Parts: sequence; C-alpha cells; structure tokens
Amino acid sequence: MVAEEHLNDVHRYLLMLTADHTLAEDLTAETFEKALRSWRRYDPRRASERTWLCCIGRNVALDHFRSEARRRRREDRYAAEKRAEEPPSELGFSPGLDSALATLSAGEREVLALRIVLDLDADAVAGVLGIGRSACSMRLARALAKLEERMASDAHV
Amino acid sequence: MPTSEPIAPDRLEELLGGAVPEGEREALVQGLVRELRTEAPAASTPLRQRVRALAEQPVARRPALPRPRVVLALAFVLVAVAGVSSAVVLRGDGESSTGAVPAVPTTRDVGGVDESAEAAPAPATGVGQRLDFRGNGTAQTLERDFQAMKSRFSTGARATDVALWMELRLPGADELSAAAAEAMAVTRELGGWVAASDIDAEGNEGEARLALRVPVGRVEDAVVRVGDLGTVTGERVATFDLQRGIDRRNDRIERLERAIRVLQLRLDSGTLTPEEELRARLQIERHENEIEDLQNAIRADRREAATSELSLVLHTREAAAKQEEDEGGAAGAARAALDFLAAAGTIALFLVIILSPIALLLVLLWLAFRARSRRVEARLLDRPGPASPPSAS
Repeated sequence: MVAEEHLNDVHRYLLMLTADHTLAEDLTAETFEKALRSWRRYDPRRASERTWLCCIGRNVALDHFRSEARRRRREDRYAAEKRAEEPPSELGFSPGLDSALATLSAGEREVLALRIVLDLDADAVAGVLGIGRSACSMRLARALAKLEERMASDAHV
Repeated sequence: MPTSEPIAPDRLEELLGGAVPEGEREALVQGLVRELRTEAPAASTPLRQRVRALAEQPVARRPALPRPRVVLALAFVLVAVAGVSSAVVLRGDGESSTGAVPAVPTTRDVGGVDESAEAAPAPATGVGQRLDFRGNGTAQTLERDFQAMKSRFSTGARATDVALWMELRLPGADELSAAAAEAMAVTRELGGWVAASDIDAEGNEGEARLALRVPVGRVEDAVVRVGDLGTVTGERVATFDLQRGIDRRNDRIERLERAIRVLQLRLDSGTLTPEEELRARLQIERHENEIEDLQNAIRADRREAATSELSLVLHTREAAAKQEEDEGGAAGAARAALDFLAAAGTIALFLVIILSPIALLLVLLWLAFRARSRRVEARLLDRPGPASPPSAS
C-alpha cells in the first residue's frame, strides 16, 4: 500500500520541517488525507510518489504556518504579554544533533530532511522547494555547515 | 552565520553518494549524514493506524479539475473553431442571397463566379438592392440575370431607380471604338441619351467609360444589344426605391394645401387686422413656394425613375480576363482556399491583438502572485526552533 510505504518518509520530512512531533503527526495525516483524495491527479511521469507526497506535505505545512502566523498576529493584538518561548522539541536523534537542528531555520531543516534523511535526488528536491538545482545544493551545503558549526560549538561547551 | 565555509556543492554531492572523506571535516559531515539517515524516527503506531484508517475510508471524490495542458488544448481548439466559424460566417455573408428586402445594398454572386468588390455609388435616398456579377458571360446570360433581378426586386408601379453597370472585354482598340459608338447609337435608338463618355485608346489597348440613360421600358433591349458588343466580364444591377420619398413629399404637399385653404378662409372672412392679414399672406406665399419645390423634386424623381442609368465599361485587358477565364477547377479551389486562409488569418490576428494584452496582464499577475508567495514562504521557513511561525507579517 502506497500510504504505508511512504508514511515514514513523509513523517520524517514534516517532523524535520516543523520540529514538533504532535504537529508533524497531524500534518502527516492531513497530507495523506489530501493525497488519497486527489490520487487521480497524480502523474507518475512528472514525479515519484514520494516527491509528490512531499510536495503535498509541504503545502499542508505552509498552510499551517500561514494560519499560525495569522493566529499569532491576532493574539498579539489583544495580549500585550510576550509568550514564553517554546522548548525545543526532541526529534529523535542524539541530544547534540537534536539541539543543533533546533537552532536551524525550518527552511534549512527542510532541505536536510529531503536531501539527506529521505535521500531524494537533487532535482526532485529542487522541484519540491520550487528553486533551481544549484540553489538547492547551495542551501544544503550552508545548512550542513551551520549544523556542523552548532554541533562543534555545543561540543566545546 | 556559520564561521566555517560550506563544503563545495559538488564535493558534498560526492560525499552524499558515499565518497571516501578527505580530512576530518568531511568525515564529520559524513558522520552527520549517516546519523540523520539512520536515526531518523519512524512514524508512531497511532499515526500508522490513523493513516491506515484514512486509506480504508471511501474517498469522497470531488470533480477533478481539468489539467492545465487540457485547458490549453481546449482553449486553442475553441479559438480555432471561433476563427473558422467567423471566417465561414464572413464568407457566407458575401455569398448570401438577397432574397429578402435588405435595408442596405447587398450583393449576390451569380453563377458561382468571383463576386465583385467594387461598390456602385448609391443614391442619397431610398432603399436599395444590388445584384453583382463578374465573369465571362453572354448577352443571354446577362439578360437572364436582369430578368431574375427584376422578378426578385419587382416594385410594381412604384417609382424605382435602376442602375446597371456592365463591363465588356473587346479584342482590340479598333473594336473598342466601334463598340463604344455602337452602344451610343443603340442608346439613342431606344430613346435614351448619352450622359457622359470617356474613350481612351492607345495602340491596341484602350478603355471606354460610357454613362447611358435608357428609358426604363427599353432597358432589357439595351442590356441585350449592348451585351452583344463584347464578352461580358462584369455586371451589376442596383435598384433604389424612390417611391417612399415621393409619397412623403405628396403628404407634405397635402398638408401645406390644407394650411393654405385655412389661411385663405381667414383672409376671406375679413376679420383680420391689417397686420394679421399681412402675416397670413406671407405664410401662404411661403407654403406655395414650398409646394413648388416639392413638386419639382417629385418631378425629378419621376424623371429619374423613367430612365435607367447604364454604366458601360469597355476594355481590352486580355491578361486579367484570361486569368479570370482560367479560374476553375484546381486554380479556383486554390484561390478559394487562399481566400479562406486570408480571412482566417485576419481573424486570428484580430484575436491575437485583442487577447494579447489580457494574456500579458494575466501572466504579470501570475508572476507577481508567485513572487509574493515565494517571499511569504521564505519568511515562514526562515525561523529557528519548532513550528511556531514568526508573528511578523
């Protein structure tokens, strides 16, 4: 079954993107709901099933981010007090890697998830992100360098 | 900002592909990659069950939207169909029969030969109808067409101005001069007169233009006899109804006469003051003058209706005529196809001119929308930490 086959990948991607276990599970379920509903529109000539599912997952996550941003703006308008910073979520890696990943931006974690964790090829990742292949490679290199640096600084501490 | 320089993208691709690391840094990066790949958490059992349940539910299918490629193809087909239909309609207009009485002059292609694009000068008033014919013909076919026109446009006892235009081809300048003289003689013989003539002959080439006025009752004779002078290459018959103007003027005359009678009765009664009497006499005079003008106009219309104008063009243009003679079979079909393509091309060009600004605007809007979406996405993803997006818009 396709959903079962790619569930881990989609979940890993969304977990890396959101850095939140609960949210990643919700978004994964929503992604598969959307995918199953629009399965007829999937064209295997344009992308693999995994890439297609990642695209849907990305749109679902971005929609969520947008609605969250709106909600935050609304709340900020009525509540002057600043919210407490949310503690970094554990992603399931080693503590050092988890904390280093938590300092990366969602965009940086996203490229790591797609290119390294899911091992999608560079063209597919560029397609999902809607950028060129070289820009995608550069984004990955920067994200890795940043991760490496954060881990090194954590190790020194 | 990272203090260490990123590894070159190409080298990074090699490392991701399993290349042997060179140096400590590459080894560290490869270790990171390995850990990310191997220790990434799997989906939890509740999530797995949730997705399985979703997959087992019957999917409420929404009507699928057509794909962009299909939409583009459909749009192209629609534009093509619209273009072809318009071309056919336009072409159909040019070939349509003038069965009903139209408000404006219309043309009809007689005998499937090329329709003329020339327009006869139309009188300023009256409802007109026109019958066009161009091609090789004989006096008999010409007369038959004229009879057809008469029966079709028959106006009974109504005053009608009939204008005929004929084009005859002659073998040489000598024949042209002789034919022009013969046409003028025929006109006079039938009780008409030559309104204008212009004969221009040089060497064996030449052209003559004659404006002949022929009594209405003798038009058929004139058409037959003049048509016999050469090869008919074009013909046009136009009728214009003059009766409506005459009726209107007659009504006006009746009203004026009634007004005069009333004024006369008031004058005869002797009850008017000198000033009123003077005014009444002046008014009667004005009415009488107007009646005279109207009667003159009616007489002019009737004179116009009593004779028909036959515009005769005699020429020696062999090449053009031969080309027209050759128009049949494959050449005719090719010309018809070219005409059709030209009409279709014109319509397509028109559509492109009209639609291109709209299409450009849509493309610009789409690009602006896409750029904005990209910016918003980048802002949403450019934040550290968990899934709480920045509150800044």
